Amino acid sequence: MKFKIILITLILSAAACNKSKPLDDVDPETLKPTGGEMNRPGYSFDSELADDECRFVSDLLSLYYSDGGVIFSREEADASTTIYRAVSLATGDCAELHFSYTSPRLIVNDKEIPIKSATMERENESGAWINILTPDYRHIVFVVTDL
Amino acid sequence: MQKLFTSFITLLLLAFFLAHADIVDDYAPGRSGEALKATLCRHCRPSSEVDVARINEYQSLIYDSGNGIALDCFTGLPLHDPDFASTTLIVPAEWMKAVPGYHAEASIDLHNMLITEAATAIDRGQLPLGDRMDNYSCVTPPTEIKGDVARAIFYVAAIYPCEIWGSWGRGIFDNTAYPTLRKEWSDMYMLWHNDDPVDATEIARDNLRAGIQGNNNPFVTHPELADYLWGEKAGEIYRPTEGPENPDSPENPENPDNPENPENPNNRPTPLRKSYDSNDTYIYLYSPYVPENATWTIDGKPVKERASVSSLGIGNHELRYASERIKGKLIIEIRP
Repeated sequence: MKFKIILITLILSAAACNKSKPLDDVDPETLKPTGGEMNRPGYSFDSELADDECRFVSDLLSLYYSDGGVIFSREEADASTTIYRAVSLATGDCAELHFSYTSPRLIVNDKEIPIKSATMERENESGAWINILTPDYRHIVFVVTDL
Repeated sequence: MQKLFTSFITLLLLAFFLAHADIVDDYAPGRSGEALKATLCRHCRPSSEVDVARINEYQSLIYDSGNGIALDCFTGLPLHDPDFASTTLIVPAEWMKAVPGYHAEASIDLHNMLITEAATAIDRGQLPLGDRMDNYSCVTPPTEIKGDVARAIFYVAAIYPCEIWGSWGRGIFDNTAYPTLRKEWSDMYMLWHNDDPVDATEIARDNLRAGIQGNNNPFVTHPELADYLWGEKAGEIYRPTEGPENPDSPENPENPDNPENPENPNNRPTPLRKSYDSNDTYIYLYSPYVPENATWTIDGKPVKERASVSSLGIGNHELRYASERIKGKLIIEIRP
């Protein structure tokens, strides 16, 4: 009986003394959510600027002019807003960017998609290359050229 | 009170028809299969939320026999006591998963509702409406409303996303974007649809529902759509209305195959689409996505209204349009 008590006491003591990974040793930095502004991977828009095909490329929907049957258009809505659209005639899939420097809005298939920013990376007489950033730091490319 | 309510609904109907052109004719022609179904889903949804507290009132109006008394959809008899009347969903909400927005919308969609005695609704429970099927107990509706029920089921299959189907629902609908309705069920409902075509009563009821929730059932306004999705024409490109049967002589000007005959379905204007072939006579330069007053060019040459497919030749062609504030372009393909 005495032997059993001693054995249990020893086992419990060994468990209590195990400090191999105490909770308070965790580096608070590792508890931060990933994907924040500081540690997101670098992104370059240069390759997009080198390509002048009309396109809308996102995780949700991608439309390319060269696929055919996709209307790309630009509408001067008012003095400060230009609407860029891509519509697939076969499916009705549609992306619409209401571009303004103060409050850009992105609408995909009739639903507004939250965006963090829409940056006009290049705009000239041949077209517009727009880099759209979502709140989770995903990039959406909207290029409308040669209209 | 009933008169006031009827006037209110009439006003709603008027406003609805003034505000809506034919959405199906605008968007569906030129599409087939999954794209056709996706178009209906995108453009034919309810635009107003139905007041849940008034559903029984709406149902009584929709199924009014003409003397202020609604007719029981299952027996055809008047429902004299509204307290014993009940709404039953053609496609029960219990078949659907709680997909945000859609589940609630389907539960109050007037196109998915019948009115009957409360006892009948309880007896039916969640059983599918159908003829006898292997492994399924079904409730068979009266012959005279089978077509109405089939078109309501087509509507639900087309309007609500395929992800919505759960539990019981997956026996009848699957989670694919198209055809969504399982073959044995779509075959049965196509039979119902063909045997009990749309009639004036169904159109009137459909318009009443449209006045309340802002959308018609496209399978009532365009019954031929069902054939293009689940019938013999499944997979074919949708053309709004078919021409007359082919008469004997090819020289006959009334021959629908004659390219000069305006009744030839290939000659009826259809919106722009991605590809054309030798079955098409013209490319009509309009689209619901393009302003009506736009001017057009094809491969750099100005074109008005339409261009003949044969004059353009096989291959890709670039179409451009411009109006006062909008410029756009697209590529179309002409196949052999």
